[in-house]
Amino acid sequence: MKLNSSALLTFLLFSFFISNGQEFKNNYTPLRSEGEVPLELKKLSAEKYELRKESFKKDARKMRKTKEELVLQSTFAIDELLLSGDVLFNDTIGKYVNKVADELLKNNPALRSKLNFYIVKSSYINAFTTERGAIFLSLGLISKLNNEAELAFILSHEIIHYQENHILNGYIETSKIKKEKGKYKGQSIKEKLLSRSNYSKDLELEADNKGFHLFTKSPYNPAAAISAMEVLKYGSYPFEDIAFDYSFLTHSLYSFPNSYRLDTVQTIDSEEDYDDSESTHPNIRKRKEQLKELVTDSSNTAFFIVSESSFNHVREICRFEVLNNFTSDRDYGMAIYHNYLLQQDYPDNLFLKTNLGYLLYGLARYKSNKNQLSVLRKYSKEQGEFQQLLYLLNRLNDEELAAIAVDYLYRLHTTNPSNSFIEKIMLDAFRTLIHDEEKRINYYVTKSEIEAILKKNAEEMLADPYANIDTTNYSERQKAKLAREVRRQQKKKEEKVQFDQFVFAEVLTEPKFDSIFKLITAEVENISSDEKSYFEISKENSIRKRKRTKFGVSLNADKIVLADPYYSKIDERKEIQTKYIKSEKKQLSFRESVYENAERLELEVEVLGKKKSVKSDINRLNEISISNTWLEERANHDYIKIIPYNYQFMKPLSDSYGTNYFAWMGLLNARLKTEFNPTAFFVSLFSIYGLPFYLTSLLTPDYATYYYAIVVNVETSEVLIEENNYLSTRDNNDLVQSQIYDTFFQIKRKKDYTK
Amino acid sequence: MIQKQLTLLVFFVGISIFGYGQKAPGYLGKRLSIGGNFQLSPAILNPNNNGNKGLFKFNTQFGVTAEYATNRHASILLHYQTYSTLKDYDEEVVFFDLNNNYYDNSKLFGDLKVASYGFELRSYSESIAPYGYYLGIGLNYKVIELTQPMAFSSTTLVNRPQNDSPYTMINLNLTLGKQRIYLNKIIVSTGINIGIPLEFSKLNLLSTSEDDFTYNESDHVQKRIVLHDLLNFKIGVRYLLF
Repeated sequence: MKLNSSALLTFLLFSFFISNGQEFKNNYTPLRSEGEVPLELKKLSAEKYELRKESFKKDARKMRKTKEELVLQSTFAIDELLLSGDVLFNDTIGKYVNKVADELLKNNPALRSKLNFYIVKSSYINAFTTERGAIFLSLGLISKLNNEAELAFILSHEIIHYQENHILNGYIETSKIKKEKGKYKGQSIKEKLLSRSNYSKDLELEADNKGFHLFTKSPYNPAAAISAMEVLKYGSYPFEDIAFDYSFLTHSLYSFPNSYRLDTVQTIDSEEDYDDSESTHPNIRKRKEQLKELVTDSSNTAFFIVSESSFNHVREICRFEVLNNFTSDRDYGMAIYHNYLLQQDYPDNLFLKTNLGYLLYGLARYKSNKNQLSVLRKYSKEQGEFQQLLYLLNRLNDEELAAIAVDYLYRLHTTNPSNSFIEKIMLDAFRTLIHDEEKRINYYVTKSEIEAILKKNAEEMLADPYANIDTTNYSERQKAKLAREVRRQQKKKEEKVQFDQFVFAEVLTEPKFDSIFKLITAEVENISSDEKSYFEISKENSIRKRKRTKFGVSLNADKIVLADPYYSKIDERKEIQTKYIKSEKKQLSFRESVYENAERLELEVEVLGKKKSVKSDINRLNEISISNTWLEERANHDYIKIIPYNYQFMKPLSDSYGTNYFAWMGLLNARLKTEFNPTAFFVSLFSIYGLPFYLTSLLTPDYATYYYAIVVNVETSEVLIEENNYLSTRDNNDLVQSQIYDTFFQIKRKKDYTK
Repeated sequence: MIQKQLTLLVFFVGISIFGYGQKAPGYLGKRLSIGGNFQLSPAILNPNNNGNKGLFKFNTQFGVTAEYATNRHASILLHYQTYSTLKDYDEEVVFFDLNNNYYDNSKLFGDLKVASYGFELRSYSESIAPYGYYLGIGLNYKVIELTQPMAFSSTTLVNRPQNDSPYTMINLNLTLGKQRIYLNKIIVSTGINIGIPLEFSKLNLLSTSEDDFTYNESDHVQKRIVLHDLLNFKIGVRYLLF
C-alpha cells in the first residue's frame, strides 16, 4: 500500500511537470537509449539471415532467389542501422509511439507482436517500414505533428506497408523492371524510372487507403489523416513561423542597423499539386483527395487516446533533439531559429542558452575563416520568417558576430561559472575576436561613453559635405549622379556608426571581463610575435608532411578508445553475398587483429564494439552514438579550427575511459573483374618472358584495398593520425596486421621524428 | 676477403639499427630479415653454365641477403651473390688438349666465377616496409675471375692477351617486386631485376672490328657479365629476425 501511494505521488508529480512543461524549464538532457538491447540484436546478422532463409525454402527457385537477396540486404542494413547509435531503444519517445501502436492494433495482437517501432535520430521528416517488421520514425517527423491522431495515422500507413508485403512486392517489381521482364520488356531508362515511380506511388496510395481503414477502427478523429498530410507538406520548414525578434541576439544598449533587416519576407509556398512523375510518393493533393473521399464517418473525435500530455512532452523532446541535430549538422541558421522558437516557451533553459552560445561562436569561427556558406543557408532561397533571421546572420560580418558571441558567452559564463563547456567556447570566442579579428579592448565603449559617441555621430550625419556645391550649371544627369553620391555617403555614415563598439557596454567595466580580455590579448600577442611568415609556415609544413609520411607521428599514448572498427568486402562478381556475410566475419577477425597488435605493443585498447559487447551494455550503444556524432561533426568542420558542439558530450565519455585519444579504423576490400588488355597481351607476347606473367595476372583476380585510421585528441579536436592507404592487393592477413601495427606503433612511440 | 665483407655487413646493419631503430615499425616490430635468394637470367645471347644458348636456357645465381626497414616506406638491403657461367670465344678450333683428347670444330669457353656485393634502397610506396610492392635501386660491385680455355696455350692463339683477372665492375640495379609475409616470420620475395653497368660503353654489346693485337679480354668479360645481368627473375626467402 505504501509503495502504491509513493508510486502514485511520483506519477502525479511527473504528470504535473509534463503538462506544465516544467521538465524543460531549466535544462534539457539529450535523449539516450535505455534498458536492455533487444534480444534480436544479440545475434550476428548472418545467423539471422540463415534462419530467415528457411522460411522460403519451398518457394520456386526464382522467387526464392529474389527473396533471399532482399532478406540478406535488409537483415544487414537494418542491423547496421539499429547498431549505428542513430536509433534509440526503450526511450521515452519510442515507448509512447509503441503505446499508440498498441491502441491501433488492439484487436490484432498477432500483427502487433510482429512489429517493433524505433525512433531514428534525424531531423528529416521520415518514416519507413522494413520487411521484418521494424518500423522507423524520425524525430523530425514527430516534432512537427499536431496531435496523437496524426501520429496514429502515420503508423497505420506504415503498418499497412508491412501487412501488405509492400517491401517484398516492391523489390520483386523493381527487379522485374531492372531485368525488363514481362510488361517492362524493351523499356528505356526513363521509362523504367517512371515504371518504378508509378508502382511505388500505387503502393503508397494503397497504404494510405488501407491505413485509413485501420486508423478509423480506433477512436481517433479521421480528420487527422488529412492534417497529417499538411505536416508532410510543410515538413522542410521550422515547426512554427513567427516573426524574429532582434532583441533575441542583442541587449538594451545596442541594436542592429536597419539595413540588416529585410523589408518583407517571402511567404511560405503551399503548392500541393507539384510534379510527382519521378517521385516515390504521390503528391500531397492526390493523397489528400483520396483521404477526403474516405472521410465519411465523423463520429470519432479523439485527437488523443494515450495521453495529450505525453504527446506534448514527447514532441517537445523531439524539438530539443532536432535542435541538437541541426547544430551537429552545422545548419546554424536553422538551429538559431529553432532555438529562438523553443526559447519562447523556455527562456531560462540552460541547454538552449548553451546551444545559442555555441551557435554564435560557431558562426563567428566560420565567418572568421570566410566560410559562412558551409553553415548558413542562403536567405534568398528560404521562405517565411526564418528568412529574416537568415538575412541578418548573412549581413553580420565576422567582427560583429565574434563580438556578439563573446558578449553572449561571457554573460552566460558569469551565471554558470562551473560549466566548463561554456567557459571553453567563451575563451575560444575571445581568441577569435582578439586574434583573428585583431580587436583590442579600446575599440569597445562603456555604457557611459555611448551617449557621447551617438551624439557625435548624429552631428556627423546631419553635416552635408555637398551642401556648398553649386549645381546651377549641372545637367539633370549630373544632378542625379550627385544625389546618388549624397545618398551613398549618407548610408556610409550610417554604417560608420559601428554598433559592435557597443556590444560590450554592459560588461566592459566588469573586472572579470577586463581580465579575460587582457589575458587573451597577452596570449595572442605572445603568439603573434612568434608567428612565422606564410612562406616559412608552408615550408615547415611541407617538411613536416614529408617526415610524417616517412616516419609517421609519435603520440606517446598508452591507451586509446577504438570506436566502431569497420570492415567491408565487395566482390564485383557476386557482390551481395560477399558484401554482407564475409564483411561481418572479417569484421570480427579484424577486431581480433586489433587486440593482438595492441597486446604486442602493450597499448591498451578499448573497443566500443558492436556485436559482442552490445550483449551486456546498452551504454556502449550510447557511446557509439556520441563518438560517431562527434567524429562526423569534427570531420565536417574539416580545416576550421573550432571546438565541436558535441565536445560537451564527448568529453565526459573520454574522461570515463581515462584517455583523450579516440580512434576509428577500418578496411574496405574489393575484388575486381579482370579485364583482357590486348595491348598488354601483345607486349607480353613480344617480350616472351612477360607472357606467363600476363597470363597469370589475367587468370587471377585484381584487388583493391583501402585501409583507414583516424586518431583524434578529443580535448583539442586535433586529428593526430590520418591514414588513407590505397593498396592494389588483396586483404591478406599480413597486410591487415602490418597496417594495424603501424597505426598502433605511431600511437605508442615516444620520440617524435617529425620535428 | 670474406672477413672484409662481413665487417661491411655488420657496419651497415649496425648503422641501420642505431640510426633508424625507432623510426620504422617494420612488420609487427621486426625490421631485420636475413635469408637467401635465387635468380634466373635468360641465356639468349650468352651461354649458360652448360654452354647452351636459347630462349628457355638460363643462368642461375644464389645469394644471401639482409634487409632492414629504415622507415615506414623504405628499407636498405645488403646482399652477396655468387655464380659461375661461361664465356664463349668466336674461334672454333681443332685441337688436342693436355690429356690428348681430340676436339673438332668446338667452341672455346672460358670459365667465369663472379662474386657480387651490393646494396639496394627499396621504396614501398603504398605499404609498410617490408611488406608489399617495392621498387629498388642499388649498386653491385662485381669481382669476376676468368679461367681461359686450355686451348689458348696449345693452339695458335698465342697473340691473345693473357688472362689478367680478376676483373671488376659496378652495376646499377633496378628491382621491381613484391614481398609477402607468412606465419608472421617468413618473407617471400619475388621480382624482376635489371642490371645496367655504370660504364655505359659496356652496353655496346656488338663487337667492334679488332684483331688479336687489339683484343681486350677485360672488355669482353665485362660485356659478357652485362648480358648476364641485364634481366633477372628472382625469388627469395628470408626470416624475420628482430
